[in-house]
Amino acid sequence: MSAIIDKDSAMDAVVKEPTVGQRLFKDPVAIICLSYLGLLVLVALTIDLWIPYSISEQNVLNRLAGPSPEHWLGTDELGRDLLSRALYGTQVAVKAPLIAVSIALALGVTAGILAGYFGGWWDRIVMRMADVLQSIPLLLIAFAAAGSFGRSLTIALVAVGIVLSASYMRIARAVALSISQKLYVDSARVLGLRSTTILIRYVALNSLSPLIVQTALLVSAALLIEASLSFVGIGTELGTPSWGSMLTSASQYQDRQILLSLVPGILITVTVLACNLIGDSMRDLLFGQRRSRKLAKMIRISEAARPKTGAIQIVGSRSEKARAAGVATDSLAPAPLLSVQDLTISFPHQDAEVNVVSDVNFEVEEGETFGLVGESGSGKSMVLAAVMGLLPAGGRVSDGAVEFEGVDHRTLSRRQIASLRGRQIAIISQDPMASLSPVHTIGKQISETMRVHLGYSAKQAWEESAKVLDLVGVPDAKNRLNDYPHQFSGGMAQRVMIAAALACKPKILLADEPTTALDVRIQAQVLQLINSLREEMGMTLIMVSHDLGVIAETCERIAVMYAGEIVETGKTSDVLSSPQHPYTSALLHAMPRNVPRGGQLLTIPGIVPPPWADFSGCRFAPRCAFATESCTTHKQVMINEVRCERTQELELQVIR
Amino acid sequence: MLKLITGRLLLAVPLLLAVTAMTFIMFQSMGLDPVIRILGEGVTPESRAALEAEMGLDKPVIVQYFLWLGSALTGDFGTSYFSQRDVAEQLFARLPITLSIAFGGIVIAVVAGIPLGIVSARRPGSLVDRAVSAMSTVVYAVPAFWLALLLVLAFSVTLGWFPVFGYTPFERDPLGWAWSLTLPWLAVGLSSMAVIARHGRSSMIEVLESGFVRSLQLRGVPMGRIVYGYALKNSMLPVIASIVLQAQLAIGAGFIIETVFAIPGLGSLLLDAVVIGDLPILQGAVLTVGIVVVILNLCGDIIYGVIDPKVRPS
Repeated sequence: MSAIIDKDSAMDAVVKEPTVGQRLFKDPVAIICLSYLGLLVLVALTIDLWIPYSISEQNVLNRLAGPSPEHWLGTDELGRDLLSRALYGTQVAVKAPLIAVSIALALGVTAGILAGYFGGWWDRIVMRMADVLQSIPLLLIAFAAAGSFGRSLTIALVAVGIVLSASYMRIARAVALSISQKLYVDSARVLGLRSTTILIRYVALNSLSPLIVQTALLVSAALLIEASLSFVGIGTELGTPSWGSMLTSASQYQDRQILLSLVPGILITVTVLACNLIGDSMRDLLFGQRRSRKLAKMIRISEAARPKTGAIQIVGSRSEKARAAGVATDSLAPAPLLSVQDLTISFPHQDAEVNVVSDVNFEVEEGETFGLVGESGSGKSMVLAAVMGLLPAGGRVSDGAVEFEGVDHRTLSRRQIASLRGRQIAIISQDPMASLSPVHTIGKQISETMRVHLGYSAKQAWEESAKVLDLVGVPDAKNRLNDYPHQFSGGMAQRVMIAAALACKPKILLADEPTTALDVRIQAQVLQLINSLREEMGMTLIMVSHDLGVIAETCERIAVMYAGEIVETGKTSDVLSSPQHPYTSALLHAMPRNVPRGGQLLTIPGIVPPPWADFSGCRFAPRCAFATESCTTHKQVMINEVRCERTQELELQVIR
Repeated sequence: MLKLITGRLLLAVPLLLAVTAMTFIMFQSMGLDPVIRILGEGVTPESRAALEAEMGLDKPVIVQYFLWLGSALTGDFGTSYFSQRDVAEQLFARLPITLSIAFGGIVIAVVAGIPLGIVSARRPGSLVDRAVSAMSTVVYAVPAFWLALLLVLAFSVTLGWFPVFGYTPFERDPLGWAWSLTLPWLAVGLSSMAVIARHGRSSMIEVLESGFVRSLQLRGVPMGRIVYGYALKNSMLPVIASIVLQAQLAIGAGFIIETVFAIPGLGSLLLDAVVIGDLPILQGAVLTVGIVVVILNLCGDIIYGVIDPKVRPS
C-alpha cells in the first residue's frame, strides 16, 4: 500500500505548478480566441440543423448580389447564398486541421518519446527522420501525395500530418530526454513502476504544455495549407465548400462583388490568428516573455526621472563650469575632482521604491586612490554606476549629487554625460569576456572610444589601439588587434578591457572588482598593471572590491560600505590598523591572511539585509556582536568618519 | 569553413536519398497505374507488357528507384507520362521563375523585417513596438494567396499600376520583369517579414541586455552606434536560421501565388502534374527542390560562419 502512496507523491512532484491551461483562462485574449474557436466547432457540428440555404441552391438570376434581407452577405457567381456557404466552410476548417494534427500528434509524440527515453539508435533514426521531413517544402509533399492519389485532399492532409509530426518529435524528445534523467523517474523506477507506466504518466504529463503550444500553431498551419490546396483546386471531397475553394471563384469575380473575397479571406485570417494568439499567450505563460514588457515599463520610469535636455553647455574653464553648475565660485578651495554628496539611489520594488544606496558621501582629489569595500549587495557597484551616470534600467538617483570637476551630473544632458564616459571617467568591470562583443575584433572595440570621443579616423584609432594594447602588456599587440575575444584568456581579456578604458586617457579610472573573475595567479599581475598604469598616467583611481587585501594594496583612503551605507571611512592604514566600526573589524577578522596559522577564521554570521528590509536602527545591528537595544532602535549617523554610536566604548582589535 | 561545408554536404546526401526514396516508394506503391495513365483504360496485355518492360516497371520497386536515381544523377529525370516531354528540361525552365518569386519575397521580408525588429527592440513596450507586433501578428495570419488577390484588386484592377497577371521574362525586359513580379513578391514576403521582425526584435532585446552593450555605453558610445555597429551583427545569429526557414516556406507559397498571377513557374507545372497524376514530374520536382533546400541551408551555415568567428577557423 505504501508504494502506491509514494507513487502519488512522485506524481505531485511532476504536476505541482499550476498548469498552463489553468493560467490561460485568466488571459482575456486567450479566452476570446478559445470562445471563437469553440463557436466555430459548434457551428460545424450543428449547421445542418439550421442552415438557411442548402449549399447547392442556385439562383442565376440573382448572381453576385450585394447584401439583402434574404441574403445577408449577398450571393456568389451562381446566385448561392454567401453566408450559408461561409458557414458550411467551418466543417472543412474543423476537419482538415483535425486530420493533419491528430496524425502529427500521434506519430510525433510516440516517436519523440521513444527517441528521448531510449536514446541510442532510436534517437538517431527518429532525429534523422525529423530532418528528412523538414527538408522539403510542405506544399510540395502535399502536392506529391495528392498527385499520387487522384487529387485527394484527405491524402494530402495525411501527408501534411506526417511532415508536421517532426516538430512534435523534437519537443517530445527533448522533454523525454530531460525527464528520463531527472530523479523522480529514477525513484519511480526504484519503486518498481513498469517503464511503460513511467512513460505515460510522467513524460506525457510534463510535455503537455509545450505540446499544447505547438498544437495551437500547427492547427493554424494546417488550416492555411488546406486553404492553399483547396484554392488551387486539390480535392473537395471533405465536404463543400471550403473557405479556400470559395476564394478560387473570388479570384475571378472579386472586382464585381468584393464580399466574395473578403468573407472567406477574413474567416481564414481570423481563425489562424485565434490559434496563433492562443499559442503565443501560452508560450508567454510558459517561458515568461512578458518580462520584456515589464522591463520596458521600468526603463520609462527611469527616463522620466531624468532631465530631458541639458540646460547648460559644457564650458571651458573650471570656474565657468562651476558657475554654470550653480556652485559658489568665490570659494578659493578648488573643487575636488569627484565629489559624491548624499547620494541615494532607488529602484522600484513591488509598486514602491527602495533605496539600494543611502546618503553616500565621499570626495576624491586628483591623483588620489580611493577604495570602496563591502560584501556583495552593499551597493558599492551602484555608486560607481551613478558616477558613470548610467544606472541599470529602473534605477535612479533619488537624492544627492555626483559632481565631476565641480559640475553636477544633474545639470548635464544625456549626451553631455555620455561624452564624459570613456573620455574623462572610465570603468573596468568584473567580467571581461562578457564585456566584449564576441563577433567583433578587439581592435574595433578598443578603437571605438577614440573614434567617438577624439574623432580619430578608423586607421588612426587602430594604430593608437596597438600602442595602448602594447602598454597593457599584451604581447604581439599589433597582430592581436585582429583577433576575437574567444581567442583571449581571461587575464588577457581583462588587459584588453583596461586598454579600451584607458584609450582616451581618462582622468578617473573606476575599477569594479577588476580581478574577481580571474585566476588567483593572474589577479596579482592585473592589479600590479592597474597600479603602474595609474602612476604612469597620473590617473585618479577608485577601486571597488569585497577583498580588503586588494584595496589595502592599492588605495590611500577607503570607505567601508554596508547595506547601501558607508559605515566607516578614513586613511587606509588607520582604518585597517584601528577599525572604529564593528563591521570593519569583523571584515578584517574574516580575512584569511589576518588569522595566524592554525587559528580559527572568523566569519560574520548572517547575510547583508536586502534593500527592502526594515532599517529603523543600525543596519548592521542584527549581525553585530556588540549590538545593544539602542542600536536596533536608533538610526545611526556618520560622526567622525564612523557610523556607530558605541564606537567610543568599544575596543576593536585587529589580530596581527 | 571548408570542413564545415563538406561536412554539411556529406550530411545532405543521405537526406536527399531518404526524401527521394520515400516519395518514390509512395508513388509506386500507392499511386495509380502508369500504364493506364499513358495508354488509357483499353490497353491490351501485349502493349502493357511492352511498356512495362520499356519503363522498367516489371522490376522491383527498389531496383526501379536506383535506376531512376542513376539516370537522375546524370541529369535525366525521365519523360512526362502525358506530354512525353523531357522532365528535366521542363523543371529547369520553370524553377528559376519560382525561385525568383520566393527569393524576391524574402529580400523584401529581410529588408523590411529587420529594421522593424530593431525599431521595436530599441523601445520595447512603446507605441511603435506594440504597433509593429500587432501588425506582424495579423499579417502572419493572412493567407499569402488571399493577400495576392487583394493586392491585384487594389493595385492592378482598381489603380492599374501593375499588370493583372502574366510574366515578363528577365532576358526580354528586366524592368518589366520586376514590374510583373512586384505584387507576387509582396504577397510572398509579407508574412515572412512579420516572422523576421518578430525574431529580430526578441534577439535584439536579448543582445541589448548583454554585458558588452553596457560596456560600450559605459565608454560613452552613443546608442545608435552600439545598435548598428555592434548589437545588430550579434542579434543576426539566431535570425539567420529563421530567414533560411522562411525562404524554404516561400518556395511553397510561391507555387500557390503563381497561380493567382498566371506565372508559368514550377507551381503551375506541378499542379497540372497533380491533376493528371504525372509522377515523373512530381518525383523530379521533389529531388530538385530538395537540392535547392540543401543549398539554402548551406548558405545559412556559411553566413553564420562569416558572422561568428568561433565557427570560422583562425
